[in-house]
Amino acid sequence: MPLTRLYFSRFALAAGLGLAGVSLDTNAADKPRTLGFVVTTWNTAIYESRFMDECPEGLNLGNDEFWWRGLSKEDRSKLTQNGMVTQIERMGYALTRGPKGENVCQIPTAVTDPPLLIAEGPVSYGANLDGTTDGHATPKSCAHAKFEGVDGTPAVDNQMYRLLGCSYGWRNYGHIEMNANGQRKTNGLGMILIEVANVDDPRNDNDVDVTFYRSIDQFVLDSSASVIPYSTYRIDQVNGVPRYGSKVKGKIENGVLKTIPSPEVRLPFYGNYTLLDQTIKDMSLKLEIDPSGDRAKGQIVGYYDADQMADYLGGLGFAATAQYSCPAFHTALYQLADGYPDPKTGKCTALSSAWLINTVAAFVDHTDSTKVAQK
Amino acid sequence: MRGFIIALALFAAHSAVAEDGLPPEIQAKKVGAGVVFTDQKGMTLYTYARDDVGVSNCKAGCIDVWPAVLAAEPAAKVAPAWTLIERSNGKQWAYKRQALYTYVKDAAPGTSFGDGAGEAWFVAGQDMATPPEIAIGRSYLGRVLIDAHDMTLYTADTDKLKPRQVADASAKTVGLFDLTSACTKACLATWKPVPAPSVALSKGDWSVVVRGDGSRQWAYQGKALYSYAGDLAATETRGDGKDRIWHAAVVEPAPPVPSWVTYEASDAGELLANKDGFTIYAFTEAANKARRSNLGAPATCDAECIKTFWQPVLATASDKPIGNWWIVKTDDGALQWAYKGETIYTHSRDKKRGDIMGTRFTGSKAWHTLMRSGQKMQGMGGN
Repeated sequence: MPLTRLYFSRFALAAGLGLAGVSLDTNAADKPRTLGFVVTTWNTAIYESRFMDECPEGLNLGNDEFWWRGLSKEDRSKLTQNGMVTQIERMGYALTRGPKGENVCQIPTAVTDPPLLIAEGPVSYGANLDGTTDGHATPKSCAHAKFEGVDGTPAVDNQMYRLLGCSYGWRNYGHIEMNANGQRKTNGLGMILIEVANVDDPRNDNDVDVTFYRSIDQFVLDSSASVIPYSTYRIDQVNGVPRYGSKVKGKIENGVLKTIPSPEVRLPFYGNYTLLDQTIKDMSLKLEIDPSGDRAKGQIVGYYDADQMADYLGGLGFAATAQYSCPAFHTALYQLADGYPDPKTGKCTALSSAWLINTVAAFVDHTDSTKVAQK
Repeated sequence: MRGFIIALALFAAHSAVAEDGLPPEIQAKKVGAGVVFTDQKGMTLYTYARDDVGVSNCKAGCIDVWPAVLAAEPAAKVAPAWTLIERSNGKQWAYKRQALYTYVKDAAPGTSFGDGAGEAWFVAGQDMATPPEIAIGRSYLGRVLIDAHDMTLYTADTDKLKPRQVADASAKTVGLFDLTSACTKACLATWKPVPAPSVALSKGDWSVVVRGDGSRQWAYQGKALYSYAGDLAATETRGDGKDRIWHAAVVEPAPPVPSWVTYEASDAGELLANKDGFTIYAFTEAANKARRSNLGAPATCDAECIKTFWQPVLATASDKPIGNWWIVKTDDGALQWAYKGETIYTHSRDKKRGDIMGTRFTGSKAWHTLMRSGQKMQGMGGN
């Protein structure tokens, strides 16, 4: 089989049954193609130096420690059966440590914890979202410090990294992200599909259309639980209208897909027993497509809504074991917010953010989804 | 082959068992998909999935909520499917060696608040007999006929059946019907007839029909049955209403809901919402109390907390209970809707249709969404 034919055959997506893509006719090479990818892992981009220089004061203490420190010796003994009750078992007690027994993740203002330890290193993943070189305040941003990009890009914004970078749960092998990726793999919730349409050349094309969907199908796994490339995933629709489906423009340069920042992109999320309907502002995607076409990896950047992050952190219920304090997080995330000032208060409402993703090639199936009977 | 013959024999013989030779304390109430058992007052009976065969494992505590259905002394003579289990306070009726119970929280005859409770309690009864190739499954539309792969079956308005007019003794015995169908050739790739074995017998609501090409197909209540190629998962009903002639074979419609209930799509499936599309949540008071802190803190969410985060879904004086939806009086005298005995709320942080912020009410299992599928909301295991 000639190389070009082999290459094409791996990218081509059947047109029948509404699958995105083109048919396998003899002139197919001249027609625009459609590429599809399913996101297999989604991780908050945390840059870690070899000696953890970005966290000079170490990692954050968790809710459990703050609760523990507030107890008398007698109460410690009584509530933990002389230390035999583990952190996860006593999580319920530790969370209700407000002065009136408030759950401090439901009501994070009920107590004041020591300030959150934030990432202070000079380097981060991300992109320059506010367009400034020094992070001064603009009509759409609040003053903040800049990073140097991991690849040397100057003036990178990533306040989400400052917020999460010194908390164990989000660092490499911390279980917040590992747990979320694992759960998506097994239950198929929060699965993102990326469809790249009008592709004349999968390695170089200066005008392609990128759409983000939610899959209603679970990952197709091989016997070692790896996601099998070129499996078919149906998009989530109600009466023929995709429930997600943000469209952006982009281009492909030497196999790297880059999208133009879009004012607002909706993406599904599931992890740690939490479903989120995420909205990312000024969102852009950079996706390096493997020459084989089988897989791609990349980075998503944009502004993430502070209220949504507060809701996610407060609702996790992992405060005991992921080593964080809801009250400290709550205070810090609004202090660190650097995008989209509220017109009335002037306080910023979103955090510059970056996520690292891995994907594998997939057929994106547009067949009508489950019909919803509306009254 | 032997197993198949046995299955056919069972199909032919078992339909009468549930309603014949009943204990005097028990009634069989006909529903679309078979019968359900009630006590003499009409209160629904249940079985417990954690019971062993012929043994009740519902003891102290449990039995206060799920009282055993006790037999009078001496027990009446009944059909062999009905047996007795010894308890300290008498003998408990069992059907097919599964102990039977009532549920103290059922509000009235006909309600089944306990169905699905703890994923262990289920309404006691017996489904109608079906051919071995066909069963009954749960879908959004209610209980539907399904094939051996759990795919929903359908009927077409355009199909016509008539008894075969031949003077052939075997045809008379089998009770074959001839089918005139508009679904031929390409249509059959989309709508696949449910094949009937050559030895299959017509009986009651079930008929064996012969298609134009000589193949045999099952029919229910005079309608030939098909599966739909567009259904990709078990009990999906995408084919219902197609071309305005295809209908899912619903044998028992979904339980009724109040007129204000709407359905909203979510990432975890369709959920129930109020008339404005806001997600509704059922409140499990016991789960709220169970999380009481040993430090003397109030319940996971005390009265003030509930007032802050949860708004009761109120009923008017003219509203009437329907199905498992009931109306209860709150402490301040207002009328509030309840589902299966759990009061219904909306959540203050939900700002638009389909929001599910209430599912992230930290550390609490006290509030849960109601899914149209009747299942628990997917992905909420550790919330």
